Amino acid sequence: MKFGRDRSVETCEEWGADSVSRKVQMGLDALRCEPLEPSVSIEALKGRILQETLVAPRRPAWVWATPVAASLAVAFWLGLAVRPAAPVAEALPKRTASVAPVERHGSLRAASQPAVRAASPPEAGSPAAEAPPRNVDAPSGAVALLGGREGGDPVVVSRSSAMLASGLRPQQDAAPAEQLQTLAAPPEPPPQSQDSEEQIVLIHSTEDTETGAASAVELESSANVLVGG
Amino acid sequence: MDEARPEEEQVNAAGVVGDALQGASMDSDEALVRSARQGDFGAFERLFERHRVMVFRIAYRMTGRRDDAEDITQDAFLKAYQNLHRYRDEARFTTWLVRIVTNLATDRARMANRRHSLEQQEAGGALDWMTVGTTREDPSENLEREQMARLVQAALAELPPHHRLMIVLRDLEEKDYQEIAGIVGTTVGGVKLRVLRARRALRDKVNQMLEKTP
Repeated sequence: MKFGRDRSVETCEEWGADSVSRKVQMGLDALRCEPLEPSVSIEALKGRILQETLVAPRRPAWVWATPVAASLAVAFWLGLAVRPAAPVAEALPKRTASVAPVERHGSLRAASQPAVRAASPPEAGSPAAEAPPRNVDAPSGAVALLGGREGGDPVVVSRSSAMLASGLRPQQDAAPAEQLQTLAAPPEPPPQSQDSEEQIVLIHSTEDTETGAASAVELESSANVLVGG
Repeated sequence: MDEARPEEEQVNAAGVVGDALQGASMDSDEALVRSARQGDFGAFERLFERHRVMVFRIAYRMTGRRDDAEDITQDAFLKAYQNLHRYRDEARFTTWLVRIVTNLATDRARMANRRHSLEQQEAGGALDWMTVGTTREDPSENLEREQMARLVQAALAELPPHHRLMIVLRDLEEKDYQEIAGIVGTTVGGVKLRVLRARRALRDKVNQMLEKTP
C-alpha cells in the first residue's frame, strides 16, 4: 500500500545521503504511513454548529459598540469640554479688561504696543525727545560738594575737575534752600544719554522737584561730616 | 488513505485540464462550497467527509496528541462553516482549509509547549495507546522503522511550531511548494528556505537524540 506521491529521489536530494538523514527519512516515511482515523463525526460537528450559530448566536457589533461609543463620547465631552471651562472663565475677564479698548481699534497686537513704547527710548519727534536737557551749559562731570552749618552759608568743599576746567562756580550767594535743591538733582538714568557716561549734577538749576531736595539734605549732612562741621 | 485524497489523485491524473473540469464539475470542492453557502448542509457534509482525515493528520502531527487533534479538526470545520462567505474561489478549498487548520494547530502547539514533559512521555512510548502503529512483514525492519518513527515524532515535538509546520506540510502531507506558499502566505522561494531550515533543525535534533541513545 503506497501513501502519497513517490518523491524519494527528490527527498533524497533535499535531505542528503548521510546516515542521520536516511534515518530521519525512514522515520518520516513510517509516520506518513500511519493510518490515522479521527473519531470526529459529522453529528458532533452538527451539534457544535447548532450550538454556536443557533442556540447562542453572536450579537451584531452595533449592539455593544453603540453604548461603548456613547460612553466614550460623554467621557470626552466631560473631560475636554467641561473641565477646561473653569480656567478659561477665570482668564477671560482679565484679558477682556486690558484688551477691550484696543479691540475696538483693531487687533490684539495693538494692545501690547503702548507698553513696549513706554519701556523703549523716546522716538525722534516725540515731546519727550524734543524737550531740552536741563542746564545745557554745565559740562559733563561738573560736580561740586557743598558743606556748612545749618542756617549758615554753604561752603564749597570740593569741585570736580570738570567744573574747575569749565570755570563754573557754585552759587554760594544763593539761598541755601535753593542751593540744596540744585545739588539734589536726581541722577539721570544711564541708558537715557548715549553721549555722556558720567552723571551730571545740576548746580545752577533751581527748578527741581521735592524729591531732589530730600536727597540734597542727605548730601549736605554727609558733607558736614566730611568737613567736620 | 486513498479514499482520503480523491481530489489530489484526480489532479495528478488529469493535470491542468482535469483541474478545469473539476472546477466545472458539480462534485468539486468549489461547487460544494457554493451549495453549502446557499444552505445545503449536505454539501458541507460531503466536504467534511472528504477532508476530515487530512485535517486530522495535520492537526495530530502539529500537536502530537490525539485529543487535541480531534478538537482542532472539529474547530477547523466549524470555523470553515461559519466563514464560508469569506472563501474566495481564487484559492483551492483545501488550501483555505489547511490554512485554518495550521493556524489553529500552531496556536495549540504553542500552548502545548507547557506540557512538554507529557509529550516527551508519549513520544517515548509511555502513552502508545494514543497512537496506532504500523504492521510490517519483517519484524526487525518493522521495529527499526517504528523506533525511528517515534524518534522523529519526539524530535518533531521539540521543534518550534514554524519548523514543525514546514515538516508536516512538506514531508508528511507532501504538499507542493506552491500550495504551501498559499497556505502560509509567502513566496515559493520563501517556502523552500523555510523547509530547508526546518529539515536542518529536525536532522540536528534527531542526531542529538541518537547520540544520547545507548
